[in-house]
Amino acid sequence: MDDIDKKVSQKIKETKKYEVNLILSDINNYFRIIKGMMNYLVTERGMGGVYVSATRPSKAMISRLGAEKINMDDVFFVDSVSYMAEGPPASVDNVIFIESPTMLEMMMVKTDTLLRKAKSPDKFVFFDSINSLAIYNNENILSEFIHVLVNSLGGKDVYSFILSVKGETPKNIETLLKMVCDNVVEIGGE
Amino acid sequence: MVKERPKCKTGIEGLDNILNGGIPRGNTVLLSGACGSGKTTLGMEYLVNGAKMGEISVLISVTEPSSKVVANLRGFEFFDEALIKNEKLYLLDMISLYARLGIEKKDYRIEDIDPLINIMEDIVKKLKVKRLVIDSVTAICHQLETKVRIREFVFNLGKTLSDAGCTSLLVSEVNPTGAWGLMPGVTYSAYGVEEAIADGIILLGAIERKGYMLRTLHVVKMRGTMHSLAKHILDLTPQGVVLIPLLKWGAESG
Ligand SMILES: Nc1ncnc2c1ncn2[C@@H]1O[C@H](COP(=O)(O)OP(=O)(O)OP(=O)(O)O)[C@@H](O)[C@H]1O
Ligand SMILES: [Mg+2]
Repeated sequence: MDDIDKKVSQKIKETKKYEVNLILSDINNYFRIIKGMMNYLVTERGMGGVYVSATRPSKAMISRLGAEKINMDDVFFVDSVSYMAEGPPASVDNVIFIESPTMLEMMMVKTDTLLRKAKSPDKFVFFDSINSLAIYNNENILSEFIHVLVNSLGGKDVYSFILSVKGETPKNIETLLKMVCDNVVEIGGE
Repeated sequence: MVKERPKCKTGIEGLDNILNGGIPRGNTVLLSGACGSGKTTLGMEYLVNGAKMGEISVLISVTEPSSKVVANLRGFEFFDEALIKNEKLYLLDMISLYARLGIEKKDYRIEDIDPLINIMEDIVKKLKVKRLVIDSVTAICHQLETKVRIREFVFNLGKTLSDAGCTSLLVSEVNPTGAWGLMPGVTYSAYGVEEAIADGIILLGAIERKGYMLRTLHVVKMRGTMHSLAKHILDLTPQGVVLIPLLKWGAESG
């Protein structure tokens, strides 16, 4: 466990189910914060759940987190980057590929599908990350999506986290996220 | 309180909500869309769900042999082959229908259409069919040639089915204008008469968003019930049809 891991688990250990947490991450510690989150949720708390990867391909995340000795067996991925980056991917257990990060509705429905597959008694949804979606979607649709997403996650018996990298998300979007999420957790860079 | 007619639950996630509980029993509904829009899948899930609820459900497959239909159905988790063995689900194709008529030839002529309608009525009555899907009614209409005959056919068929208490989906193939969509003023059926007679229209289409296609569904009309007019995204999954409300800002391409 390094410093960031400790910091992360300290900051998110008070979070509850049916609450949506906005994780404002420092850009320099992006991967270490994710690692810290997974370390806490999966390794410490024994949860399974859904990882929505809109920034890095699921394959890369699975292997990097696996290399950190995090057991990813009960973590399912909704991956909206690989298809766009590499073309039609071969099918992989535990991963649903979405053709484009503009198919926002699909991210939600596939998250629901995969949540049903996770076997651990406590589950999480981790959304990585809103700022990446801002590259492909305009502010109108992204704002609408955030409303729907937060309402959907807030109605679930799961721990929900939406990651947004500080300085990478449009101002209006960040303001909206702070307003609709139940908690704002800033990690790194303070 | 307004009393709504008894409903036939489609059992499809989302569709029953859109229809405020299901399709009013006895309705003849046009299931319209271009090729690949999901008509057959939706129709089959409707039948399989009905069969699982104990209702006799029948597919009349005009365009494909039933062996092919079964082969495709095996790719879906909702399908259970025991329903066929237990005589809850019947998958009939033209060869089996014409066999009943004592006709052996592969290509049939217009003259054979009337006995075909009779045999469909016969099946609905004898088997006490509660759910029927004809895939597609357009293929039958092709044989009828004139609008008058098509009108007569759809009207009589609708009446027979409704009198028998059967809730039916008539698959209607429409030509895509642009991307699976319909232009304003374009009809929901190949001949334009089917839609006027039908009690309901479920339209499958697509929208383009930044170069990617999304399948859509919306209920254009449904006699006998309130329903949502909203466009939904239709996702074809191994579990079957899933419907999700379309984000309003994502309804148009761009
Ligand atoms: N097992 C499956 N799981 C998910 N999607 C599937 C599966 N099988 C087929 N599909 C998708 O469904 C599409 C076909 O849907 P379907 O046959 O219901 O359309 P249709 O409107 O009846 O088309 P047609 O007019 O050609 O008869 C295929 O193009 C494919 O994209
Ligand atoms: Mg078909």
